Amino acid sequence: MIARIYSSENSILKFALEEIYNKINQDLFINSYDFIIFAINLNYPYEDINKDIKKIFKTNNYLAFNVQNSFNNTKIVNGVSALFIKFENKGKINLYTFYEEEIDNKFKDFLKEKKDNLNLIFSTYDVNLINKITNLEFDEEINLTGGVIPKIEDIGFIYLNEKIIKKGIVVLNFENVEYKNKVITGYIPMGPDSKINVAKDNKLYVVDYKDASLITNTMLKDLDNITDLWYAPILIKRENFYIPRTFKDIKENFYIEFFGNFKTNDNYIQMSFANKEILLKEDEKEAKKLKEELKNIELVFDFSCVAREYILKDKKIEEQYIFAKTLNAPLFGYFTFGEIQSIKNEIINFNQTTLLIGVREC
Amino acid sequence: MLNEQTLLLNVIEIITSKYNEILEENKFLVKKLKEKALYDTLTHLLNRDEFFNRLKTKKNFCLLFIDLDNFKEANDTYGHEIGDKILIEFANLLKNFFKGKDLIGRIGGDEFIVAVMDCNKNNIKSILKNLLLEIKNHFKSYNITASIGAGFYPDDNKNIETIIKIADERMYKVKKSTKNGFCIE
Repeated sequence: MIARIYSSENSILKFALEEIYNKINQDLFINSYDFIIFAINLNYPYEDINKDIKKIFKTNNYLAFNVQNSFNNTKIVNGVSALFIKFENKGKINLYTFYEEEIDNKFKDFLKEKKDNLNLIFSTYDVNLINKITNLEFDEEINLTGGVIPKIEDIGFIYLNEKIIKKGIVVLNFENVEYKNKVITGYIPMGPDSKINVAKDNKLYVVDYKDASLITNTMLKDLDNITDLWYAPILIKRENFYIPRTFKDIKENFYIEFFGNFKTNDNYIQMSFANKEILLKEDEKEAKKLKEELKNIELVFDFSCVAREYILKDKKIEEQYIFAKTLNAPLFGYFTFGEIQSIKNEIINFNQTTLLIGVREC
Repeated sequence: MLNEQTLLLNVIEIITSKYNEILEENKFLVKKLKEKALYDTLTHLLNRDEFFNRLKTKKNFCLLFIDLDNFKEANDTYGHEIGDKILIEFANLLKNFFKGKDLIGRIGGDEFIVAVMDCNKNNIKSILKNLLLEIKNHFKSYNITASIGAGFYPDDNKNIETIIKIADERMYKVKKSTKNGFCIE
């Protein structure tokens, strides 16, 4: 597989796409491509995305989606980034679209059928949709990895051919590729576990037989903004790992709302704290592991949470350097509104993580 | 940076408060466990082990073995709930009757044990007469009385095990004859 990423920060979509087109055509190492993935800033006119891509690139083999910022190798791009993929052997990408009403049946059957493939999910941000996906139950191990695209002021869509998907998911099903992935966390768990007494969907109501909002009352002392709490995500405890949860909203004396959901098997939470250096060390450790597990990586997908970007601030770019240096492969990705990863027979929506996926054609 | 430090302090405050709660909870559990280890759960009198443990250091006492008469019949007639109520009321009666340094325990079923301090064969009789009268009056409606055997330290023996045996045998003497009485020799 040959993978190339090109980007443009031209504020006119047409010119940004033309700039990328010219760059890929001047690349001596790739003379054609089988599939293109576009990450397009939310500020571009969304109605023109399909039209401009088709006009400039003259292809139907693409997927585009809105982002705030995307990753072009070691750069964070505030414009358009495009990943061009050319398979050299039997590699293939199949594109599937699912709407909310198809999650319980069509999507579930799809995951069972394609359980041995890399299935890369791109989901629009919608709490009900994501809860539906993560509440699916399977009897066997499945494979799903990817991210939730951002949504700002009602904009945040997926684009393919003639379609604009405003609420739904697209899965890129890769055939004849090998892959390994890592969910990178790196938060410092602090203090004892607390029992979840009442939680539903994305809201936590009662912890240790007390109003959950009592926790945030103390956490917000002398602080103004809920985003300050992103430095101390709540960790949902599982047997061998934890799921960080990012604070979204607080209803005094009632509940705390998070960007991810609570499931019936989530029983305990723990406080945590983020330290930039420790997060970066964890990045390096996990990237090295990925490199050991999959030799000769040809492409890296990086789905990194906006809340992680917020706490890493200027150090976020270092995360990109660590991945690029360690994995030595083209890196494409974006800042997500949640990372989706199957673990055994369960689909989990993570927050504040970086999901790193190394791919190589068979 | 300032925000991060403030938040960290706030998180530590939550954790400290949580640890304090755990500490309080543990103290409560330890207290409960201790109570369970030392006291009979139904009557809250000393249990057998704790009774004899405390008796070890005593030098001059009268050991009473008390068995309720007709308790089994009351239990069968009125049910276990009433049976338990009788045992609790009997324990309270003993607690009100014996004061100060005296030790009171339940050794199982309807058998109780009391160590009356600084007491000998001469002065125990009036105490036991009054005790029997009080029991008879209190439990008249259930026809419950008591058979009591007494052993004396050091007059009967200086070995506690032997004193217990003596008191037990004397209690059985009463039980097999008249009931509602006591035997001190």
